[in-house]
Amino acid sequence: MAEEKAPAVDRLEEELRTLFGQAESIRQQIATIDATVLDLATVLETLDYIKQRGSDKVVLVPIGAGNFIRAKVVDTEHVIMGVGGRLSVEASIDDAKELINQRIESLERLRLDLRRKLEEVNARIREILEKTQQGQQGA
Amino acid sequence: MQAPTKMELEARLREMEEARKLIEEGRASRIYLKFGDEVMVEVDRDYALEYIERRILALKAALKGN
Repeated sequence: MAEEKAPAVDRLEEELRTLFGQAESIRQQIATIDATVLDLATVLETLDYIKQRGSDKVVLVPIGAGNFIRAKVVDTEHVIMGVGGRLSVEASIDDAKELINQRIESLERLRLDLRRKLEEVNARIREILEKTQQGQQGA
Repeated sequence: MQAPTKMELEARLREMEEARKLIEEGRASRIYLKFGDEVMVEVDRDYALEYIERRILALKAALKGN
């Protein structure tokens, strides 16, 4: 009898390994999204500050290896933003903020989908663990 | 280097489509393309749109093969 059960247990263990891998991958994707959203929120704050109070302000421009030079803000209406690939565009700060907010919203939707997916994977993991525990108790 | 996931490819495709919209709507006052690691060169609208089309095609092909 125990020999007949073995392939089923093997299958469950294999599925469990796959599910653990999937859960880890989803958690990593959620962490990447969290970091990106935080980064974009910082950009929004910076753009607000530059537009409202940036005129003629001195900023420190990184020149590498932790060194900076002082520079002055000469344009408080535009920002050069990376839009993917090797492309950057100069846009008004208001347009840039709108685009960044859209990106944040789309990332938040994606994060919600991933959380749902993670919950499904976790539920299946719990189900399999319960089955294997019942199997061990029954043996 | 790890191959990009389907999610990453889809995100890059969305970025490119948004960039095309931004340029077509005339909301980009200047457009720059990065050459090499650091140098950004100002390019004209048509060149940028051609670049975007090429990238969209490449990303769609990558997604098909993914």
